[in-house]
Amino acid sequence: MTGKQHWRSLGELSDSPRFRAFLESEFPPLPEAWSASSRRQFLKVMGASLGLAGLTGCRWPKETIVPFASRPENRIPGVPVQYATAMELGGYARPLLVRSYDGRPIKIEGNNLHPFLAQRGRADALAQAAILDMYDPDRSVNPLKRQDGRAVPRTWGEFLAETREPLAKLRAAGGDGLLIVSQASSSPTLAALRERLHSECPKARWFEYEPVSFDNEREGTRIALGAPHRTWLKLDAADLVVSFDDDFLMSHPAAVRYTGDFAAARARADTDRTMNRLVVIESNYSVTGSKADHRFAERASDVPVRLCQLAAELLKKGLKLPPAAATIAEALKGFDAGALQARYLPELADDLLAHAGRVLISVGPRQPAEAHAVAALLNGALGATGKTVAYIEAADAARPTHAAAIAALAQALGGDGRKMVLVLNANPVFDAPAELNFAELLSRHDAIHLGLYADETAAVSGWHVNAAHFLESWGDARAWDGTLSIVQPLIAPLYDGKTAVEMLAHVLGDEKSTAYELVRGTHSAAAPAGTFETWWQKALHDGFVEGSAARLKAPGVAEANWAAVLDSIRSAYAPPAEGEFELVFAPDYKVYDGRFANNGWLQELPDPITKLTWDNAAYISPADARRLNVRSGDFLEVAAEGRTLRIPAYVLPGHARGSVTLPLGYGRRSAGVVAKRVGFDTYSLRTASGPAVVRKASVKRGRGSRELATTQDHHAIDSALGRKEMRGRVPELAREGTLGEYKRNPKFVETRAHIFPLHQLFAGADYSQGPRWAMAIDLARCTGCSACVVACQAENNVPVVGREEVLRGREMSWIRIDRYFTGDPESDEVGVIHQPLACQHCENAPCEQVCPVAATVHDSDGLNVMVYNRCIGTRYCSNNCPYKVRRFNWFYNHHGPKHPRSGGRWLQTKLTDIEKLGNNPDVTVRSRGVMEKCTFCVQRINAVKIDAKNNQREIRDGEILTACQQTCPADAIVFGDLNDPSSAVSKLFGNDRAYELLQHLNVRTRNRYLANLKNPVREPEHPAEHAQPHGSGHGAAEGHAG
Amino acid sequence: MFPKWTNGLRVLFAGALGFVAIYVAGIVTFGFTPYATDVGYMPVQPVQYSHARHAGKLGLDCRYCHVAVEEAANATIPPTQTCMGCHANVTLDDARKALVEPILESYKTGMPIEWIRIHDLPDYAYFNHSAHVRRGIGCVSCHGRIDTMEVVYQDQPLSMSWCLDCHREPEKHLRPLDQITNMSWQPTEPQETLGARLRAEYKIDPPQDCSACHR
Repeated sequence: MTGKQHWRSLGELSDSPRFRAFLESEFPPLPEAWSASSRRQFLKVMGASLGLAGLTGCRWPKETIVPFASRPENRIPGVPVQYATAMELGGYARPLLVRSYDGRPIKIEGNNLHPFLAQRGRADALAQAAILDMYDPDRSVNPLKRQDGRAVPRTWGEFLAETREPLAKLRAAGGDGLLIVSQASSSPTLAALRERLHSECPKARWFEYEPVSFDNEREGTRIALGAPHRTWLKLDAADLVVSFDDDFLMSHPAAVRYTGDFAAARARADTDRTMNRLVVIESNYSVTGSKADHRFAERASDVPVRLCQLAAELLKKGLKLPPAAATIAEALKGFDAGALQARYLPELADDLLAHAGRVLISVGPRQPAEAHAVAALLNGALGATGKTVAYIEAADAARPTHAAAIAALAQALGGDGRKMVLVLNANPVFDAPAELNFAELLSRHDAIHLGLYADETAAVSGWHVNAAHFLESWGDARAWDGTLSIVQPLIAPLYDGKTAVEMLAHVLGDEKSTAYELVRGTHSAAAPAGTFETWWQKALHDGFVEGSAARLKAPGVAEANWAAVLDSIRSAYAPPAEGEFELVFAPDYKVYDGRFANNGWLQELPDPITKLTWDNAAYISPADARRLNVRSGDFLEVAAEGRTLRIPAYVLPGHARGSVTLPLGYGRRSAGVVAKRVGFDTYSLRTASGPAVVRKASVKRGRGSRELATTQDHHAIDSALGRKEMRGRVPELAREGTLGEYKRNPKFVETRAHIFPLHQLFAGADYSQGPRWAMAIDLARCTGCSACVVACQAENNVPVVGREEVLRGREMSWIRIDRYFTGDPESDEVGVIHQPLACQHCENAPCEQVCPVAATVHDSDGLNVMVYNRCIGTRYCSNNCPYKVRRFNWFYNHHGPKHPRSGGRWLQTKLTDIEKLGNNPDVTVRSRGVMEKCTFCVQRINAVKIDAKNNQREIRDGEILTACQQTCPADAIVFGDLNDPSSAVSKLFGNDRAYELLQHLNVRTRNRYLANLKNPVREPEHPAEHAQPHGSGHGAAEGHAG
Repeated sequence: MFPKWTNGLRVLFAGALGFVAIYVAGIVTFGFTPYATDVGYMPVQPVQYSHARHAGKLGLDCRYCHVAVEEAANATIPPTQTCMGCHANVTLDDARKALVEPILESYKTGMPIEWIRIHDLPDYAYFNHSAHVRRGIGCVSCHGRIDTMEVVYQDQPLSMSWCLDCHREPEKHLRPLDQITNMSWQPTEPQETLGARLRAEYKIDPPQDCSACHR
């Protein structure tokens, strides 16, 4: 086997003993669950079950039916209704559509009317998982007052009574001594209240703080364009996208939209044999990097220099700069590309010039403002501005940066006098720069904290007030493109929580107004008389306000001191020194900045790149790992500016050398049971001088190690015996080709595997009548963003199992995303292929043949059906499944003895009543002892089938959307009827890139994968094709057709 | 070939086999008795509502109260409001006034009435009313002569084999779509011919797959 090497993990590649031990026990260690229980406990349990045996034979529990006394209009019990709303994260709205059963929100999807999402209705993993937060039993349920170091439960009424007077006094003093700390927000209502506060209490001070933000982009565009702007990428119009440390496909408020546009440009390969090209220069391996055609690992602190070198190279090659930036040409001369060994830059410059007008350069939010300024300049010069890049003028140009705001706040708190601090949903004690020592600062003052959880900030505040979840609140917010959405509640607040606007109204002395009245008030003032009610109804129904998007602009480059800009970049640069590291703080793909830390779905979601669950780790390159003599899981001592952190290493192929990536948001000290003892607090190293990148840090090997719960080696398809063979076969599983190869040989996928003549011993079932459900997954579109995994979890009541059980390989997700690395782990260009894998619904299913009780059978549409009530849990089917997509349920109603919520100490065998509300009533809640797996969302199929039959009509193509397909931002998943030759899925089955996974087993799957495509500048010297002709060196020679 | 003492084993073995056969037969028979399937289950409801009076004597259509039956999985128990639609204007004699007291109470306070579920399928079986009543299956086929019941009870076993009996031979139960809620309807031609004709006309092809009801 020649060509690119494909591999799953470094453990597998090096065949480490740990990996081998894991593989050899397909269902890793079983008996431990017993070891904890003593004989006494055993007798107790047995006694109880004998006692219960006598109770059998009674009628099943008496159920009651409770109809409304007065039923709301259009409400049919048991029929789901969808409402549009929005979730605000980091100051940007994500437009959503939420499905509600009998008043209980069950499933979050994207708003399919919203122009920001291009009417495609997709939502990312974070937004979808937010529903679990609402039903989180760890949420704070009442106001708390801190008395003698203890938090005493109080009521909202008591809070009002006790704070009324001091607040009135503050107002009388013009707000002197009133400090307000809020998260970033785009809410017009909040802004209006803030205006009111400033006019009534001119001395009150407001600080807006987010640990992760786009402030650098604001400041960079302020330099280059004269005013702060947001960048809007038109990825569907760009042929060449160059990302300088920008993870726009994942860590971006517009990632869902961007992914769709990007995937569409990828898929042009099928129609007109062209494709966009993505070049990524970054330190950490990001999701965007995993889709790159060329990816170059560079330290994050080198990235601005690389950008300047590219600019110098472009000028040398004849790029014309606008007159306003003429001074930069001279200054750029200092950045000689040759001297700094960036071998790829000349070629990249050529490529950019060749595609001028259809290129774009994007710079990531953690890069300094100066880099953003240079990128804006280059985009203008390359003809991108207006065509592939547009700008949106920031609404609040005068706002200080978040970093400046938190510093000013610390200063104000450090000054004399006891102040009243109102913290609105923020958690500065956890996420403010470490050197400010916020906990101590805040404890000196009277603080009122409003938040979902009694978190770290609540612990030092005099008052904590439980906040309403966004699904319980009225509000408003703007998306990245400026479109205004009204946030409407799906349910009355479960614990009578309050919103930020209600709290602010109370501060202003208005205790009566509800959030509903405040939000309506904001917008009714602006509407012409008499039209408001119609406007309001339409805004609520559609989930956005028509025509409220900000105008896209193409501003020219402003006069600026470009020499100073470049000086700043140059002076910040230090060449890499042996043994020295930079630290890069990155928002986590799952817990973001820490606010989703108590969300079990997200904690258990494998990170798209590292496949890490229930933990964070310091990502380092294999070369550095070797030098430090650490392997994944070994502790590192990371020290910067006199602070140290002990955190396990994760050796990430493709990571830049001399750089350590530290995901934020873990190691929460006070967030709930799920977040407890999970991960390490990387904020403890983060100071105001290096909020994103610390240029100088020392990293050494620490004592001990921690087993990291990664899922990458779980469900490995082969035994130890065939592992070497398997490594050769991975290119066959996750097939990949280049655009050039695709043009030369459209059927290149067939060269990746032997085509065996496939014979059937017995006649298969006839599926020519009725629908023949099937799914196609396009690997060229898939970015690995994992929105589908959360969608499936929410739709199908998939339980969370906890870290311990993930380590045992017992995670339950019905769809997983296999991540394969390609290429040499030591080289810079390590590639990644993402392959979502759910049940393949084989027509000739191996699982069915071994089930002793016929618990898994085919239905007449050809679905491989799992009958939970027949299943006796032999797990034969899982053993015989070549794709390892069946999951055995070890848990009672989602909660086993080792469930995180039980703290591993007692047996919590039931979901709490609150948690039960979040289950999808259309899907059986499985219990311990049964196998489960992907059903192709049979509940969704049946719902459409029944509706079609009731109305005597045919099912339309695209009417049935599986949960994973519905949410896929890249449109990578397509489901439909194969018996309809015009259906989208039929067409994809006929696509040249389509292949069947493990076709030689003749299980005849109902899934096809479309091979991944890359579009490199040049064809690789060793195309990853089968170099050998059939029949040589591949073991099984018999049965070859040649 | 075998030692002599094994002769006794033959008897023992036959006896054991016989016991197992009887045991299995006993369990299965028990499973189908009304005791196990709850046929005849007739709990005392919070309101002594008489279907015989309303649906039988007064001739109310089932759908007057069970409004969602043609649209949704659940037929739905009516809200108190529905009762009051008539009872706000009906004067009852003193003897019967007491019967509607809980209704008035609920209407006044807005607190719902907690009815006891009689036709209780297991949670893993997903039955859909609309798919049946819009496809030629009458209410009476599963619920019996509700219009004669003073107190509603379970008329049919509601077991899986009972469901499948009809899914295999729907002809025996199909009726014209305008006779769905008519409890006393009798076919004017032999049910077999009518059923076969309606089956072709309505394109009835009831699924017998597990996935039809279990998800």
